[in-house]
Amino acid sequence: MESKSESETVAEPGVRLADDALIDHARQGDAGAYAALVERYQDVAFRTAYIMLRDAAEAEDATQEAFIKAFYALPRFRPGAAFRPWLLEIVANQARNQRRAGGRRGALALRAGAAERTSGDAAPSPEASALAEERRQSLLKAVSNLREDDQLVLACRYFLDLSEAEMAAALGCARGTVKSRLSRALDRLRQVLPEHDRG
Amino acid sequence: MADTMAGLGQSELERRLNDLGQHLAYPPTPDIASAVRLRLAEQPVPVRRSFWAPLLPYRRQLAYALLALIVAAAAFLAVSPEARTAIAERLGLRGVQITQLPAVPTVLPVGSPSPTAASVGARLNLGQRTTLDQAATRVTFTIVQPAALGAPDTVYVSDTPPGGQVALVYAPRADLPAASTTGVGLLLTEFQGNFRTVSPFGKGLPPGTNVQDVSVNGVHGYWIDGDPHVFFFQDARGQVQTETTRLAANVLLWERAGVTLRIESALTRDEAVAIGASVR
Repeated sequence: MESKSESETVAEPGVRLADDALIDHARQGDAGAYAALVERYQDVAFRTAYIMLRDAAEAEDATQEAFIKAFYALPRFRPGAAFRPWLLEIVANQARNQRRAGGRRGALALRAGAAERTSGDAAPSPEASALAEERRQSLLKAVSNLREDDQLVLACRYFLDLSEAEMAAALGCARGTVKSRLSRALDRLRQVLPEHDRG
Repeated sequence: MADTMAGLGQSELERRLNDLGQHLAYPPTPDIASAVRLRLAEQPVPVRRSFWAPLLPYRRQLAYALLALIVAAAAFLAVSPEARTAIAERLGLRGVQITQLPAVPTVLPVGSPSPTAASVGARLNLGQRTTLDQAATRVTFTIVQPAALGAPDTVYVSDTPPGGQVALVYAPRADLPAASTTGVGLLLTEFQGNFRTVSPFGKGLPPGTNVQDVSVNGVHGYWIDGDPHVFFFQDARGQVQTETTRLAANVLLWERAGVTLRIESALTRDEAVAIGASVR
């Protein structure tokens, strides 16, 4: 499991304060402060773009472009608001625009040797690992066969671990519709999963 | 911000999706922070997407930063050289050395009486009145004329920017209606300088200003209409200069053999391009 970066602990008041301070400096043209902000959020931004574009180079372009745009849009950023959802909206818009411009999309894949243990557990038996891996593969396949907006809503929630506000920003929808979209996507996922595997 | 969606009540399927997310193969995140920092250092000009779109092919060149043309707002007109330098800095050109500013044309007072050709040069600060032959000895480039228009009615020459500037003035006539701002039919200015790309000044760009890519005899140029603009160019010594266009005049700007040519008139884009294409 990936360690959570500090950027993901947005609920911490201290971290929020630091964001605000960086944003303040960046607004005054301090590129260094902005670079620190970019560093903090580049992981989630890049992964969001990658989920949407399925191409590392395109995702890099989109993320970079989005951060540049966000820099110039900082004067419009409401002080005290959360930076992450605001940024993710720009990233998602950029990725969407880029996707329309064309290009094939790759498929999401599992990490090789993904059967690592979760902390505290004993090492799983090779059989258990293989089974877990197989189940993940079949789930990933089922997700990949959903229509795109269902895939995206599931990915935002479960793969990227976005909050409701962040999901609304990334999906470009009202916050109130996130839950219903998510539950519809889950329903459709259940329908395409093999019966014994619906969980 | 509390995440209202996680935690209790998660179904087995949701738990498995979470688990799946933790086992996905993402490409390693590139060093975007450094790239962004670099780009901000190279290209500190505010960006406005919709405006950029047609100019995107040129953006890489812009990254090399030695400009360039910047289209700016009416508010920047009629300012002193000191103020222009300040504007250049505000536009993010702090890395660019601006050591000398050309004597720029001043804005005509609105509603001034229709001027005579003789007074035009003085009021627009075009330099000294002269003849084509004499002007040719004062500038470093070959003066060209639009064949479509014939000989100009008056000619002005100025020693700034470096390399000199020539202004050909055509009085209003049937095919050249007087431009409300210059009071003349057409003004063609020529000076040595390169421009590589237009870099629109997003923030201050008035909604009424448009920049379009045009082709003048196969050479890339720009058509600027609407509200007035300040633009920047690189002079014969490689330094960046500012220039102000006149209030609401329509401008065709292109480069020919290292010389920047600018037509200001009340003509439409296509008419101006046709005249530009006849230059020799």
